Amino acid sequence: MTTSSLSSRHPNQLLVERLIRTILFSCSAVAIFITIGIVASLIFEAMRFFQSVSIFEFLFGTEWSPQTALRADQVGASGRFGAVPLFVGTALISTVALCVSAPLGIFSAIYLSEYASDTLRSYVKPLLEILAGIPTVVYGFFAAIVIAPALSDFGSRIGLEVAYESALAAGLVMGVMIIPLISSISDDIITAVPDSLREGSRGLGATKSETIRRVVLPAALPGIAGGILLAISRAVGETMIVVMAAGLAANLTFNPLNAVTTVTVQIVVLLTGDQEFDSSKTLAAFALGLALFCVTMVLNVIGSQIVKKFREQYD
Amino acid sequence: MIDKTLVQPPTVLSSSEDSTSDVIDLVPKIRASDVNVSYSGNQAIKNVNLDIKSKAVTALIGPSGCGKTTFLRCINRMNDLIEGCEVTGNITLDNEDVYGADVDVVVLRRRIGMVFQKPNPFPKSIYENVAYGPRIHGQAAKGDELDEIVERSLIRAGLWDEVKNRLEAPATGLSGGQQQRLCIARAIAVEPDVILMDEPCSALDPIATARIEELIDDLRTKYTIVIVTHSMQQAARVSQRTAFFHLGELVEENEAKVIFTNPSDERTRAYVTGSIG
Repeated sequence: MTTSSLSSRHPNQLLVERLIRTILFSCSAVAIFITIGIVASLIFEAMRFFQSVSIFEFLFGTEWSPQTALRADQVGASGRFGAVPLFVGTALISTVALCVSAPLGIFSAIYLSEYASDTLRSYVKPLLEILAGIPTVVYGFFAAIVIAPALSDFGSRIGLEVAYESALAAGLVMGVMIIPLISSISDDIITAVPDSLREGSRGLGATKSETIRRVVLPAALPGIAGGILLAISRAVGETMIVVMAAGLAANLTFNPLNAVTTVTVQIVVLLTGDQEFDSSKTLAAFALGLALFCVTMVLNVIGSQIVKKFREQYD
Repeated sequence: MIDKTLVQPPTVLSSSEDSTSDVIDLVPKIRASDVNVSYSGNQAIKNVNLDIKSKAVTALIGPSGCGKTTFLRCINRMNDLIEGCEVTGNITLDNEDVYGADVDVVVLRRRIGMVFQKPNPFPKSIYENVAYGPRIHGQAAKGDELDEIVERSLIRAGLWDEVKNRLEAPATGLSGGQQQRLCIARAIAVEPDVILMDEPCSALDPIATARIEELIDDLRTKYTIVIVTHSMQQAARVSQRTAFFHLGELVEENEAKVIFTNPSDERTRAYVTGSIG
């Protein structure tokens, strides 16, 4: 160390700075490497699965019966791994969920951001957040024990056959779960639309609802669409509700009154209980996981990109 | 087509006669008496009495926070939108009480257009921005009529030549000065009698400002214009009448020439000569 007047007061200062920097860097590195590891193992195991089952059959096959024989001489020795019924089931339940949550979420956001007084808003917003804080397992048994039987009952009374584990029941409850997500993103987006636009419209003599319909919502629409993509991603990846309320049978149907199963449910089914870790049945879970990961990642990236871009536009 | 529920302006002067001289009508277009405004109990303006002449530009000047914008926003009741804002006193437009119980603010704001401090075009096309007002007021039955209104408004706002080939382009792509002229066109499209302007040039460069000022000068032959401005030079350039506000009070109002050369109040003199502000 030199002893000029500009040299550090504490020779250790530089060392401490470097140490802190290294510790912080390692922490973020651990998180990133774990993520990379998980994705890598997902891809690796999925590749092993695709050695025994063709990727074409997996993506486009319409029959899913993953039961493989325990002994080689048993009947039905090899399962069928066409995942289309699972994709359709997932899409069906997510669609039902979206039909519930999109209108309710967006309309409540409009009410909260445009009409509600500050006092009301300060009570209602936390209440909505509570809805987001309910564990999904609670939603799950609510769906299985309350909604599903009620729908089935109601169906039989009006002469409709509603499966006990219908896509409708799971979708409805999932929709309720997603309301806070859509509502809070939409609320943010609508609040980000500058007041100068509202004033411009009101100054021309437009009423409040005209202003909302013709100026605020069109301006907010791209952002809200981004929010809905995030909600879809959430619905697609949701597990607990569908494990409890959706079926296990891989029916290929577009009727929400039937029982369907989802990608997440099948992953749970494939991996619970005693497993052989190299059977196609077990490896199929990784292939499903990879498919799910790809879809939710793409939705998340696009969704958050849109939302971000929207916020920047009015900064 | 135009269904004005309030009475027609009392003026009989045609625009050509009007432009030949600085004739100012004797009957005030807008009359404010004892107007007081408070925001959640804080008084913003006190006992303002002001007559605004028809077909002339009246400038409201004064230091920041003097209440000039607050007063402007009372005229078309934009202050209604602010929570906790209370207006007392009386404002009339052509002798009709603006705050009367049966007044429809939609009709009122159609008669009194407004241009804001920051250009605020809607995130729609240029055409849709101008067509917005006529659409909500049901002014045009057919597409051709609407086209005509849009063209006429853009011509009057001096923007037509610059945008006629790209009416479907997004309005947010225009320059700041063009956006502000678009906002003026948007206000004109509903055929108001009065246009309120709240520091319309404060976000613009000098060239764009000069264009807007020229435009204001053209528009006064047809409209009663009330403009709030920070710039005394601007007030001197565009207005025929000038009102000086200070600390929530209207200090004095007179012909612009008088205010800037021979004001009667000491505070006005101090402000226009630059020793307070």
